[in-house]
Amino acid sequence: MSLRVPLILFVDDDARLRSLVAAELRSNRYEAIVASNGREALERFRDVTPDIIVTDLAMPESDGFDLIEQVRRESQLPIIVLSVRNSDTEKIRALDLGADDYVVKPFSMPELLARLRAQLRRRPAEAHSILRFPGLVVDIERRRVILDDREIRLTPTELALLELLVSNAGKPVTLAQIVRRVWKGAPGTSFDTVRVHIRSLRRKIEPNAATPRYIATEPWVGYRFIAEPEEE
Amino acid sequence: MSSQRIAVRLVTDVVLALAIALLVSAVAHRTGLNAATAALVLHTTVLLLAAWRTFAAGIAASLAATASFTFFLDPFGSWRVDAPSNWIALVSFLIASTLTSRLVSRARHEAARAEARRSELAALYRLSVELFTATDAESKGRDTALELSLAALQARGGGIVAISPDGSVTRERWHGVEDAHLLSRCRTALQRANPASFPAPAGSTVCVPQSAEGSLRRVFVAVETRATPRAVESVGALLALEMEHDRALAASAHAEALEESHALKTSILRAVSHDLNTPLTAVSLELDALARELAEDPQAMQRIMSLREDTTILRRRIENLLAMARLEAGAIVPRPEPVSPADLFLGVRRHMDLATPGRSLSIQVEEDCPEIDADPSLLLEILVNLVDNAHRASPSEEAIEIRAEQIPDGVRLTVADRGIGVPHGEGAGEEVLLQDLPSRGLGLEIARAFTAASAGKLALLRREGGGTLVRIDLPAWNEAEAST
Repeated sequence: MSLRVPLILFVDDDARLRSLVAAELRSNRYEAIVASNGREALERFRDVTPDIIVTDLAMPESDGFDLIEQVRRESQLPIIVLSVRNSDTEKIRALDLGADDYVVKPFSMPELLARLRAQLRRRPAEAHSILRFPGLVVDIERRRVILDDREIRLTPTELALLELLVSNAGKPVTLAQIVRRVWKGAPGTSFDTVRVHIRSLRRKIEPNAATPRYIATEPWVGYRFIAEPEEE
Repeated sequence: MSSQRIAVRLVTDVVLALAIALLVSAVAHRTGLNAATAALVLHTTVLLLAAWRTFAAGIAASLAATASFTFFLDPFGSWRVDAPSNWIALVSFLIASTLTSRLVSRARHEAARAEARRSELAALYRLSVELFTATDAESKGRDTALELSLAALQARGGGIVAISPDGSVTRERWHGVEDAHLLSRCRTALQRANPASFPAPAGSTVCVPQSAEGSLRRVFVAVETRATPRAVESVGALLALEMEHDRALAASAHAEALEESHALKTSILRAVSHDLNTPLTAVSLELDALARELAEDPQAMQRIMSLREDTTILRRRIENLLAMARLEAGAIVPRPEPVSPADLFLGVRRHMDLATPGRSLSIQVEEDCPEIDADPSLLLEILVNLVDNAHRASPSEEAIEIRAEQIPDGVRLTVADRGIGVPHGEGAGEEVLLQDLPSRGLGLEIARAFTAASAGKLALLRREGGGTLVRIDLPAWNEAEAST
């Protein structure tokens, strides 16, 4: 991992929140720059190339959606959006435009820091063909899954689903993205089809049905692989 | 036409017919025409008179032609009508005049009817254009539509009459002169289930039954109209269509206004949520910063922890108030999807970790418990509120228990504590009515309302060994339907 301190661009129209978050980020060993709207954030992004953008969605002049759209034309850097409760349509729209995750306002700093760590961790992991999580190993190249030291058999669809989720560990994957990536957008594939296969996958990999360890549902949005990858 | 004018015309026709027949016969005699040619000329004269004038003129011309045929032709001056040729001529003239005048009369009558029908159609067309193209409410009011309809029928009055089963008559819309026999005439039309026409001083009064609405039966009435019953029926149908069209426009405008109002409420609530949550986030972050700076000062840390707890309570109350506002504003429309109880409980645990760190939560999901068919955000609100209530009402060392199990009609979720939420009383497992509770906070109110919105049922029970048990029965997701 690079020794360079990650640079976070925080975008929100509330000046007090901007200065508080920036101070908190700096005290947690991040570098932070701020912007008050999407247009200003885009200028900052082009000037300094941050490692992650954290942006509010509702802002005057140029909002968070505009920012995500513009940034995604030029870069694949992680984007976390700040949304309010019960705004799943906004979340899905932001994720479909290319955002990587969301945090619901009011958020706590530990919550935001956890999401930042997950995004920073995810980037180098993408290059690996073997992904290791507590109790679970997914060998993407050999198409093998080891659960608690025992190889388990998955159907090709379940394996494709698991591969998609683990390669995006920590990040919500929308139902539409799953249909597009696993079923290649095959006609007749509904979100219920995805749910049926997810349930089948869970039965095979979740040791305790009452407390999921690996796959969590993001209501209306999709699924998130919640286990943290093991350090190599 | 008055009877005096008819009589004058009749006399004129007869005199004219006699004069022409005599003139033609005299000319024939002078010029020395033979009998056949003279008969042919007289025949043509009778035909022309029958066609041009009236049936009476035709008959008069026939008689005059026979008489002059007998008088002028050889032997001149004799009135012998017993000769067979004279009888043949008389019968021939009569048949020709009768047939011609009948045919002409029928043709004139048909032409008059066709003209009347054409005028009615033109009036109906003008009326439909006026009724359906002027959409501006000011240019086409309810009464204007009726007035236009009655004008198209040249009626002196009329409107829509509603007749109830007890026989009472209501003029829903009326314009112009009244009709003294309205009820009996409308009843006749309803019994016939067809338009009924009644003679009136000027034209006729026509009653047309219209479509029934529940027990009410409606009749369109045109008083003293010159139009045919068929035209009245058509105008009645147009007017009914126009009323239906107006109702549809009003319903559409209402639906549009509701949709706009719903979107506005949702947008306002989202803005309020954003505006309340942003400073709340700032307060939480400020407390985080203070906690880090004053980590070495136990007294300050205690006060910061207390402030954090207050912030959490405030946050929860704001969320509850917003949820209640959404519910009351109709901005909450449940969007069911299959919800795994384990996922739901994971959300509850996350909430507890943030809101009440350290509080023990026991989670149980029965093996093969089906997924719930409900809106996940509503379910989370229900459970979070119930768990918060349980947290406040029970000793902190006691675990709060949440459980999901299959029941015959769906899934049962239970939240159990050892607290003092429900009044003590006899009988564990006994249901406690919500109205019997000493106090019902907003949290329980939201849980109850959201359970109802999720097609579920919430019950509070006295728990065996003390405490409260909240039971929420919800529909299970039908996997078979989804797979197909």
